[in-house]
Amino acid sequence: MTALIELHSLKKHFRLPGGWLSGQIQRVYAVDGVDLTIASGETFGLVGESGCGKTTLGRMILRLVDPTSGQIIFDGKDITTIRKNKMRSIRREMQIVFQNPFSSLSPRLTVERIVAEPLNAHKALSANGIRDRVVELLEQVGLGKQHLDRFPHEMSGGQCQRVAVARALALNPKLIVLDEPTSALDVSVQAQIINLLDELKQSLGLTYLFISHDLNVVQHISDRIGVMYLGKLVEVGPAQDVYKNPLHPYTQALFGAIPMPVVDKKRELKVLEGNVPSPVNPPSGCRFHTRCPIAQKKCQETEPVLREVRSGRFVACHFVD
Amino acid sequence: MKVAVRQDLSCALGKLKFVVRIEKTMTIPAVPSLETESTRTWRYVIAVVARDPLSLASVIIITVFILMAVFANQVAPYPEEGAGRTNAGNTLAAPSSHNIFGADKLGRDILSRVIVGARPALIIPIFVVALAVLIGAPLGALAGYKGGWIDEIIMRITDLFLAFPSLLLAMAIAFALGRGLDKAAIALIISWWPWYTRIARGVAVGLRERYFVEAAQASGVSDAVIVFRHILPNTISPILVQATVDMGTVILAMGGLAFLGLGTQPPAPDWGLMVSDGRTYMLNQWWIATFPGMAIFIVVLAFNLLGDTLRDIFDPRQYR
Repeated sequence: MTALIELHSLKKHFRLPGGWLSGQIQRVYAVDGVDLTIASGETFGLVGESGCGKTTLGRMILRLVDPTSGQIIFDGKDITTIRKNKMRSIRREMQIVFQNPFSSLSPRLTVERIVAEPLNAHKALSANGIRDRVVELLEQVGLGKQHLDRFPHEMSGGQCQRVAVARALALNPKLIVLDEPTSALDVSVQAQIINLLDELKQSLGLTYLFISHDLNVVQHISDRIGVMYLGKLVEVGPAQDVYKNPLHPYTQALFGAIPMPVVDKKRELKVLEGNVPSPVNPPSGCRFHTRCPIAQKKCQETEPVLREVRSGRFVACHFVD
Repeated sequence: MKVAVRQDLSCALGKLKFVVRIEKTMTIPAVPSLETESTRTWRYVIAVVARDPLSLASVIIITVFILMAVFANQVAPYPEEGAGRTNAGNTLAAPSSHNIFGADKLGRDILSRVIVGARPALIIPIFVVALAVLIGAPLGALAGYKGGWIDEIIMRITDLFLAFPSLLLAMAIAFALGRGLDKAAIALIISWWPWYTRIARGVAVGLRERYFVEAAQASGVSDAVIVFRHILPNTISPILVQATVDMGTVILAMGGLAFLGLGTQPPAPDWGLMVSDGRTYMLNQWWIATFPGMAIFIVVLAFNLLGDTLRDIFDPRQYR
């Protein structure tokens, strides 16, 4: 397994507006030191509550957001500080599918022009070649020629998301960042899109970074899962293992909160107390100590590092062996 | 296909603004999709115009005025008087079979002067507004999309222009350039474009954060293409509305400049100038200001309605 993406202590701090009069500059610690490796051909599921920094992380990999510090290595190349015009050629190899298909497709362009846009931008093909390629892409995602002249508002959410996937596939990328690709869709359509993504991955040898807060979906599609809390990874491991036997207390609470179709009397809900602390003022030590059921004094003082506790399983907690 | 249509008819005359809101449901004829793109577009344009009596009216009015301007010398009953020859025996004549709209203080037939005056009254505002949009909108879209120092520089320059009342600025520039219709038009363009920059920037700032712009960035689309393909087309609705309103403002501003001897040179006719000349006779000879004023009103209203039609045509959400 070769690494396609390597992140080394990647950080993104957003500066809040104002504060220059009082001398206090406030920062949002959106992503605060993430180390992560995604292997080629793997689907990595990134989960966490809203505002934990998972979307920012995905955007940093694509360099839609510039990191504050740290390193991004894509396919052996350091792309952390690469210049904009050089980044354009690397963009052929990484694409993104957004959460809301209606807002990720320009309302004034037809499907043909939307899917052709990346091809035009990179002057990849001749005019006739582009049309053929667009039809081929549409067929790959389960649409067809008849959709070429449609506008986004003339299609359903699922169809729009298929168009967004077709656009992402246009340049034969190696990596696709899927930023909650199913959360705006109906459940039945969600399943269709998930299966489509799975099939495309098998046939085209893609690598996915699948960002979601839907644990069932992530568990289903991912090879490995990373759990984020307040800008940091707290647990990383193979999807099935993490799902069946979560080790970090936060992961346990998160996975314990998945609604189940079967009533299970033995299952007790561990409901977390309180709210997620503000990423403007993250707690000292372990960021989870304010809500953790097993927190000790040590947790307030020292920050646990992400360490390998079992083969392939990484946890950032003082009390997991 | 049933579509709910809302139209705001707005008209500005000096300080007065009228807004009429019309809401109704309409049936758009479904256009078969087996045609080539251009014939379909044309059929669509015709369908949009034909389904709405107000659109149709605006197209007809503007066509009539354009024909009137082109064939002014054939249509006007007294073309020489229209162009400026005085008729001392006919001073301040009331409307009659001889002078349908009456005559002004120099005895010139007002109908003829309105017809001959249609030429500058149509060409100059179209020219001024079109160029102001062409200069202003892309700059605003660029400023809103790029943000940062580019935004600061462009917007501070527009602030510089907007700090002066537009008519005053146009006067100063026209004065510096000298007399003449062309120079007045240039002066008006210079003082008008920042308004469109403002509008385009406001819309573009909101669009910058939209996912489809980010998706284009992620695809490696260049900034120039993003501005022209994704940002500008989406700023067109508010700009069209403002542009059609400005048509009337420019006609009146032209009159203001002409009044100071900067725009249209007397004895050539100018609607705005005719209105301001007629003002002093308003109580006894109402026809001097009324008929050119009505001409301005009708043209401005027609341009407003046309603006709404254009907005419908440019909006693909109403397509098919």
